[in-house]
Amino acid sequence: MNEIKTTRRNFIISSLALGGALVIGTRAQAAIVDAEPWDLANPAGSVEFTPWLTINADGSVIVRATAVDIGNGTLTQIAAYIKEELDPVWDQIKPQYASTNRDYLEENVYSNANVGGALAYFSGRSTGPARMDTYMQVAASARERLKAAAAAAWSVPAGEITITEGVLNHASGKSSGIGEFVQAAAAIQLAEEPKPKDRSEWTFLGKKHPGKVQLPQIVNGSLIYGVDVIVPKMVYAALRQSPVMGGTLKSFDADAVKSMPGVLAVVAVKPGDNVPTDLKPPFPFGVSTAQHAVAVIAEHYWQARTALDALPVEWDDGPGAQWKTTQQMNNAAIAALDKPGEKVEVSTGDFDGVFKAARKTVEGTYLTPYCEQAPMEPLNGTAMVTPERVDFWHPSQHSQMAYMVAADETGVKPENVFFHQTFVGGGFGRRVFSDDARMVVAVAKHFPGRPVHVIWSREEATRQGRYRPLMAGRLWAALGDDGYPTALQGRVSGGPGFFVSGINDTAITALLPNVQIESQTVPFHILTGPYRGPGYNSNAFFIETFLDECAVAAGVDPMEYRLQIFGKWADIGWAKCLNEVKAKSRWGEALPKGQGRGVAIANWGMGGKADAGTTVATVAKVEVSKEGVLKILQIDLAFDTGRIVNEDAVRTELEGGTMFGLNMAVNEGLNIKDGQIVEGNFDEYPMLRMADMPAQINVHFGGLSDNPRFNEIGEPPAGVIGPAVGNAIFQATGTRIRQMPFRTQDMSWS
Amino acid sequence: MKILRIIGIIIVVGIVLFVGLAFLLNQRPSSPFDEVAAITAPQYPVEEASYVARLADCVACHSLPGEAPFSGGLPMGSPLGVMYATNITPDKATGIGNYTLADFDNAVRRGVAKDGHRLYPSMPYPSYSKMTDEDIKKLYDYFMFAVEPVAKPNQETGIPFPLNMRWPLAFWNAAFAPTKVYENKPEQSAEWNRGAYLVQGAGHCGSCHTERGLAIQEVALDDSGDAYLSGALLDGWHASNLRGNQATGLGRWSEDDIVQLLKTGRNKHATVFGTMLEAFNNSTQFMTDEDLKSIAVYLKSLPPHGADPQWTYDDATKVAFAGNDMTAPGASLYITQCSNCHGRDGLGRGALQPPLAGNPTVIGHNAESIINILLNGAGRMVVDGVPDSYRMTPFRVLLRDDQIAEIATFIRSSWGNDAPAVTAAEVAKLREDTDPTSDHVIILNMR
Amino acid sequence: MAVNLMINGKATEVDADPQTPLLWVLRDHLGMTGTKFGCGIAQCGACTVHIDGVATRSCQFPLEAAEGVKITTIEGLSADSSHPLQKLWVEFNVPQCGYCQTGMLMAAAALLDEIPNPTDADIDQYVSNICRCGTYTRVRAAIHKAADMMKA
Repeated sequence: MNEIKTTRRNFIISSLALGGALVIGTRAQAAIVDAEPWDLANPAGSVEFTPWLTINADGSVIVRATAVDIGNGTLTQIAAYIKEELDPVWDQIKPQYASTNRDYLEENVYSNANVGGALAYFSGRSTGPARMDTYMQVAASARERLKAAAAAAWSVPAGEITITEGVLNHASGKSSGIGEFVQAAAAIQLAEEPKPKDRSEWTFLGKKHPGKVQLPQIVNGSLIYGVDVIVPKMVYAALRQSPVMGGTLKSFDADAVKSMPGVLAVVAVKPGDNVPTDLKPPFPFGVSTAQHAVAVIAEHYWQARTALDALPVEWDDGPGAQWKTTQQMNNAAIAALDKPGEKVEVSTGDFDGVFKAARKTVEGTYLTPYCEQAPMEPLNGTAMVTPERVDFWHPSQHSQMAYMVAADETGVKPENVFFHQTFVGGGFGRRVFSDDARMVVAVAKHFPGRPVHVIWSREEATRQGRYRPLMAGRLWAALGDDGYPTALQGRVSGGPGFFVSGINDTAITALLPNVQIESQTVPFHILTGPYRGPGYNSNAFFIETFLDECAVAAGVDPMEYRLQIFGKWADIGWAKCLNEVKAKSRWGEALPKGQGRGVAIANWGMGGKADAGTTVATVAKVEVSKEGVLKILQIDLAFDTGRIVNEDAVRTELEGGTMFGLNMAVNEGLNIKDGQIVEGNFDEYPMLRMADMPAQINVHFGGLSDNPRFNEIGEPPAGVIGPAVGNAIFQATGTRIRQMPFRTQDMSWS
Repeated sequence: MKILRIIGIIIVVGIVLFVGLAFLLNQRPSSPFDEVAAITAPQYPVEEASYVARLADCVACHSLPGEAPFSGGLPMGSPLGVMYATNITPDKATGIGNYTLADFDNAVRRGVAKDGHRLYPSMPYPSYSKMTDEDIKKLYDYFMFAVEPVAKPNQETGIPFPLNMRWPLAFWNAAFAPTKVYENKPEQSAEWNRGAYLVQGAGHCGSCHTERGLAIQEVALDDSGDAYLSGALLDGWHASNLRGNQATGLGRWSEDDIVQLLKTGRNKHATVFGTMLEAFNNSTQFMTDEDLKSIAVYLKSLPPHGADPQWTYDDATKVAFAGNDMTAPGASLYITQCSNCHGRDGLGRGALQPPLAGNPTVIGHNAESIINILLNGAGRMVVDGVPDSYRMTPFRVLLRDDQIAEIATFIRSSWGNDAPAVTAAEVAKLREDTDPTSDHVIILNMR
Repeated sequence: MAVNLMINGKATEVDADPQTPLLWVLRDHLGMTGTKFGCGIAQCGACTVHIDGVATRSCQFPLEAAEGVKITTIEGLSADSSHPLQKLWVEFNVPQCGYCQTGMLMAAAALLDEIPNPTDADIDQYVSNICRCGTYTRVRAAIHKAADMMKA
């Protein structure tokens, strides 16, 4: 056995010997963090056909991705576009993140309106038309230029040459790897740019469903997430922000901890301590504002964290402390529903008149709590700030936003800011606003010249979130003589930042002739942000639970009720999805007492239009013991995104979205005490585990309408799982669940 | 008629005697310091003075986290209602700034405030009465000259009339509160005597660790009673048996083990938690090694109380786990929820995560502490101002009553442990009675 | 304090506070970042390693208790990603973001060592790791398949 002595410094040197530069991506093959300067990323002998595509002399292909891969497979998807049009060897397609710095210098080459605009660098939507068309076009163009170059060399017509698995072939027997012709191809000007293949000609997209390209690095632990970044001379920081959001740092006693092992500095961060730029960020900089914070910087993370715990800190809680309890906030949100909303979101027909004349009306009040995205990788980032330059390694969900925030925080010229996107251990919306990015840079700029790796504890991340907002909703329906709604009124309320999508832009509001939706903001201090299906994840619960209550009031089976209503909707996907889950879930088959089925349907992203967004219908089958213990037995789910290109990728996202929606509905809810978030970790904020899984989660493809669109798939299930389970609980027990999380609701029956 | 008259006379005489006795008992007690002139400057080095305050752990009750030291405010539940620790800073209007040494002595050792009202015995004056004059003088020094005066009015107790009348407490004092300073036992070593003095006096260990009688009095205030320090229920915790019982007491502990627990919060048998965590954070870790050794010598001299079953490690549980035998109720839950830190062998991890095998708290007859810590977790130990990172997590949210009962029963009957089963009803009751412990660090400052 | 550790079959010396969790010794002192930080309280299992063959959450395993035991991390599960579970994880496209998966793999590998043919209940019990992306159904399927393969 070899006796080796490893120290951290030795390790860095050895990893540098492999990588050779201030880049940590050497251990990750699939998508190294963007090299700096970016043009070094093109190896000798390679040719950059467009900023999106470089082909190397060995025939491998570098394709540049803007959409961050957070586990949703964006890198794999862009590799698939290249494969379809250019047909290199699959393993030889190397996705890399597109440099945000280059995008800035080259007039938004990666983020102009044609390629996604403000959402170009957002972590998703890789099947959006802007992205899909761009990649297919550049790959087709490279293919034709390679063929033209080979044709010239071989003196044959280019039209007779094919490319298969990275090899140019001609019937004459001439054959060559694409790498051999990259130089010649680069010089070729095509008379006309080729059109990407028609869908009917696809051989890869929709036919093959490759797993994620980074899987090999995931399973041996070599994939580099933000928290795994190690760069020379790096130090660590542990962070504490004002326990009450909006509070201020009064004082701290750095002397009490400065002699603790490894401690290098104690630094304070305050909002507004930045050097503003005139950059135009994809979201207003306001969403990234830093909270008052204090951080301990030390040689090792554990030293920093231990010293932070020992650091005496005094905070001024500010006005947020007025919110003493969760109940007080819930009551305030519900009370806001008693008066007309300050904003009218939708108003059609004569809803008031219809209500006055109605013989039967239904009313329901609903509530959803603050929820934390809780990605498994805690918030973190590594930044080295000097007066001239910023290097920033970070697991962002929107790397352009993070890049601009780094410039905005430090005042360093954007061309001297180098953002290195790492892999991301889950996002769910938490890493979009880049408040985490700003905090990392704000800490690091107080310790200039050394890379500072800031890592939130799980408790800090949970209590300092940008949450799914606390929202209350009240709905009223006037029912006609047939029991079906003739008018709908809705009011939603919540703290600043709550979202109304999914209620003012969904099918039912578009279908009914008389509708009014109002909203009302309540002055809560808790900060909010995107969380898988923002707004929609609350509103779909409100409206789909309410529709179930209408069905019960009408004495109509809830499935039939929805089929009747949505069968009239111009988008046939709705009825298709309902019929699919109706058949596959054995809807209507008798169940023993204590078991029940519930249905829900909703659409994410339709914006009030037919044939848009992604529709999901779900049937949940549950069992509730007499003591009120809930067990989810089966989930059936059908969806309509129009079309799909990677069946397995779609399936994993829907499975994952189902689990997410289930956990949100059953388990998640943050409490407030004296203005602070109570829950800190998974002991208090529970997560479903293997043992809690429904025996079956069945994803069905029979709801697809073949409408010409490829829509999003990650967020849509988050809206429907909750109401489907809640409606099933009603069928099983007779108890109507109007508030999340369900685990706090009494479901016992006798 | 005659009989009636006699009864009448007896009643009248009785009332006169009762009132007279009440009057006498409610007199201001005499203090050896009655004639001492007003003290206007510290008489002792502040380290010596503050050390006595550490020994007596005044801060634990008289301070709140985040508020000025000794300004009072801690709510304490009692069967009568909630009462609040008072402001004992030297503020003249709201604290004890006007107290002479004799006034102070009467409060600390006799439970009588300057204005003559009787303190509730939640103030451990029956124990403090054993403190020497010298230590009282030091304590007075500390509070008059080392503590910052803070103007903060005391909070009224939540005890309703007529229970809030204080004068009957004089009878309680006459019956239960000793008035004699600790006297050395010549047959014992100086070390033993110092330990006895600290345990019975300033340390007031019996306040938690000795059972209380019907009148809420400690059934024994020193080693002359064999129930002394044999363990007691308090605030949802069972303060463990500190006597020589092999399984459930300190029988298997060496003197060094005891010193280590009081100095570092942990040893190979157990860690501090619950209310002992506060005593450790604020008091015992600040004691000198000599004093801790004395305490250990004294505690080790206490013979077992009652029956004394023996505990030996039994590896049947470990063997069952190795063979994937999960038939014992709670075994499966133990594997998923507990074994990561406490090990399949139940032996814990080093000194940081305590063993469950043979842990006196686990095998004690009363399961209150085990249920409580499973439900609510532990607070954070703070050693030298540095909070501990290996905190027992609460399972209040993750597990149902029946699951917690299963785990508690499992750990109480594995690895040679042999304690009664725990029911879901017991868990349900404690769940309702207790608040979750927070992972927020609580550091009570003395200055 | 210098402590001698046996990690993936190699003797390794580390100089760190004995109370430092093994997780941070691995990640920060030794640069072995395959073992992930998720919660710090032994709840999520992202930091799972094998201690003498038993799946153990390293975030609550103090360095001082690590001397004299055999530690296996994801870097040592196999030299070349050839463990049947690693292969099947790729084949079944199990991971989504992948962050929890090294811990998930270590828990599953220890399970198969102890119980070569696990039932669903065994998997529930031994693989209690948290995956926020919701990969559980595929994790379960891959474990069953691996058990079949390893039997053959």
